[in-house]
Amino acid sequence: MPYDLFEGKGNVRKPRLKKDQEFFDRAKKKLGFPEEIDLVTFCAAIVLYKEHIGESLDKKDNLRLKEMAKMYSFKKGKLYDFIILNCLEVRENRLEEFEKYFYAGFEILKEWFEQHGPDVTSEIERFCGILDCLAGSSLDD
Amino acid sequence: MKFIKLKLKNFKPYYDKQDTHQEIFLFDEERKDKNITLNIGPTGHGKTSISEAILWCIFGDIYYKDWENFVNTLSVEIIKQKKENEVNMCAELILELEGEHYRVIRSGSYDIRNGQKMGESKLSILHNGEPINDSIGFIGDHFPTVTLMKYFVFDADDILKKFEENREGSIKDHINKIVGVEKLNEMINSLEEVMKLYDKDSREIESGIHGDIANKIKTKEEDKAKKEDAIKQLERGILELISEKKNLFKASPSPEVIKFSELVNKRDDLEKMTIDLNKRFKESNIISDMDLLLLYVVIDDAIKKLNQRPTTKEEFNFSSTVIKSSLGENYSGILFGKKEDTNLIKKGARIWDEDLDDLEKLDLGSGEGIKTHVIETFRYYEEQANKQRDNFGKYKKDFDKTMKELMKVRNEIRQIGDTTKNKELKDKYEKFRKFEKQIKEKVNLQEEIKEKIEEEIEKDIKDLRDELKRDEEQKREIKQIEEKRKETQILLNISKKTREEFLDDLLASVNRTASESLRSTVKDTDRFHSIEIDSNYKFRVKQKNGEALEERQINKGNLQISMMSFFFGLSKYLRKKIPYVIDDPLLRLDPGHDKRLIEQLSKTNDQLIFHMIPGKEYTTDSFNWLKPYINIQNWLYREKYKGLEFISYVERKDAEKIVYFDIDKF
Repeated sequence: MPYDLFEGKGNVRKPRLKKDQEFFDRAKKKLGFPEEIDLVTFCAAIVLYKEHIGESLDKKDNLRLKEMAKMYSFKKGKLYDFIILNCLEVRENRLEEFEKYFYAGFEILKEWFEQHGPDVTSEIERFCGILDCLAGSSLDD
Repeated sequence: MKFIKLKLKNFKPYYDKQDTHQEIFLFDEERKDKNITLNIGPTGHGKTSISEAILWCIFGDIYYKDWENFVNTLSVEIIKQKKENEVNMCAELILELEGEHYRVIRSGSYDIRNGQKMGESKLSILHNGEPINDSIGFIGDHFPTVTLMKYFVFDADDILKKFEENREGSIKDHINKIVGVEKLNEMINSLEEVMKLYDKDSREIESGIHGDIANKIKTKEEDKAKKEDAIKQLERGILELISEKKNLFKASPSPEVIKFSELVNKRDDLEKMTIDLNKRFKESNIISDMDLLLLYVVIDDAIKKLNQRPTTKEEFNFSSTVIKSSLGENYSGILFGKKEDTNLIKKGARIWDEDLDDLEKLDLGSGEGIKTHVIETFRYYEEQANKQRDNFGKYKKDFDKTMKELMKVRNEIRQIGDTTKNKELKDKYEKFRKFEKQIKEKVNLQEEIKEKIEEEIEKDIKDLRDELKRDEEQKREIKQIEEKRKETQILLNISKKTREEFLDDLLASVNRTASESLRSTVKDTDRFHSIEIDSNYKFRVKQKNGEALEERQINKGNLQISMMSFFFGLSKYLRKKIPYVIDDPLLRLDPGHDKRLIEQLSKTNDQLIFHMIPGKEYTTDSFNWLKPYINIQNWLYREKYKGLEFISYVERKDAEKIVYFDIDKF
């Protein structure tokens, strides 16, 4: 059924590599996200935004991920499913597509942390930094 | 002591025809080796009145407060006839005491108008014709109390009758009267009650005492001392820091240093502001929606695209199904109005009709259209995104502003550090600031401790001291009660001891005297050897071998003589050498016993005034064995005066000669 949420797929996944896992946990903590899925959606949103403003990004296919949040606890699942279906016009394997976006964003975030992380001390400063880096002054409107 | 003479005026049956008084001789000092006075007369001839006259004379109102009843009725009549109001009564006892004569005079007036006495009776005692100063004191010195006087002036018949009726009760009553045990018992009971009250008071006060307050105060004071020490230590620390601070800058810091200081303070404030801002940001729940801040453009674009996109076949089919189910059997189609309203056309209706009467509003129910649902979802998140964008925008604005300022200040600090090129100065100042901070902290801590001492510890100590004071007052009160209790206990012990001693002493004395009296009265002294009354008032007659006789082994006569012995034993205990005035002394005694008893009593040389009934007690036989002891023999007669009332008169007879009972004369 095309209208079934993420085609009825079970769980969202997160990185399986130990190194990635460590960063995932650190980033969640440093950014102050209450749940793991919040970091996952934030990463996906980064890529969706970048593509929307015209940046073309390479997204990997063979992701090393492991199961994480159940779909029913993924509150914004419908939003992301609808974006992938209606905006990206991907009809099949939409959850895998979402995961590609997450992973691409995860890489961007990792890069940002590598570049700016050590100088920044608070959550608000990190978000300001990330959003400035991505969107410039468009958020200041 | 001897009662020599009794003179009576208007007392009971004794009326003097010459309106003076009647004289009753009681002791002839010429015959002082003989000590028995006999007043012989049948019942109603004034024998008991003699006893009453003696007691009233000595004790007056204390003996009998209604003494107006003693007034001679004949005298009342005669005074009435004389149309006078007052009858004078008088009893005078002339007594000999240690060779001296005293006249004890008791007088009183009777008001015939109301039949009442006129005030209290009056006592006067004359010695050699002169009144003595303290007549009441004289009575007190030479006579026992009126209660105990009844052991000297009594009715033997009555005593024995009461003893036969209730032996132990009677003994107890006599002994208690003699030693005043009843009064002592009352006092002991009262003292015991007082002791109980003291104990109760003590317990009540004690329950209000808080206990170990002194230790609590000590602990608090130790705590206070520790805290005061801490304050002193802080003070020393502060002084050291001030000193070190001064060492850093001998003079006051330079303008550069002051500027530097201001900037550092500003930097600290700004850093604190960023920390506070971040705290608020974290608590605002924006973080979990941070993705929406990036997605809002994607969502906006999605809504636009969806609105422009043609309806898909799937969506058309879905809509058709909805429309078909809405039309059912009654409608033929849908009419979209100019005002974007949607109406149903009834079957058979002419849709070109101008009035359009057969149209009805289309109700699509709650079924979801796919495109609509997606758009709605996007719109919801668009709204959320905008809201969170605004929220974050505010935080970001504040944060950027603060950070900008902070960067500026940091830059200035860096510049001062660089331009002075005096890293040492910068370090010194950092140190200076550190000291200042430490001093401030220590001062604050000092204040906190001082506040704690003042507001908590000192208040607690004050409260505890107040409690302690109250406790001490209560303890003092308890101590006072204890002292009073102790005094009362001593008094109680003395009273109990006195009671025991008196009782023991009395019983020992009475037992001894009574036993002697018994032995000299009865024939079989081996069998009736001694009388023993124990502390439980049990009366026993014992044999010589010490064994007590059973009640059935003692006949009535022996019992009476034993009791009389006990009675005389009691009066001997009082150690008063005053005459006995005894009504019916021989009436209940067996022949033989009476003789031996009287002989025994006579040996003591006490004056014995016996009121005896002729024919019963006074007989040829009794006169013969009484004769050696008779001092005076009086016979009591009575006559009807002027046909009005009987009056008594006394005739003294020859003590050596028997007077035969002349029934006609009586």
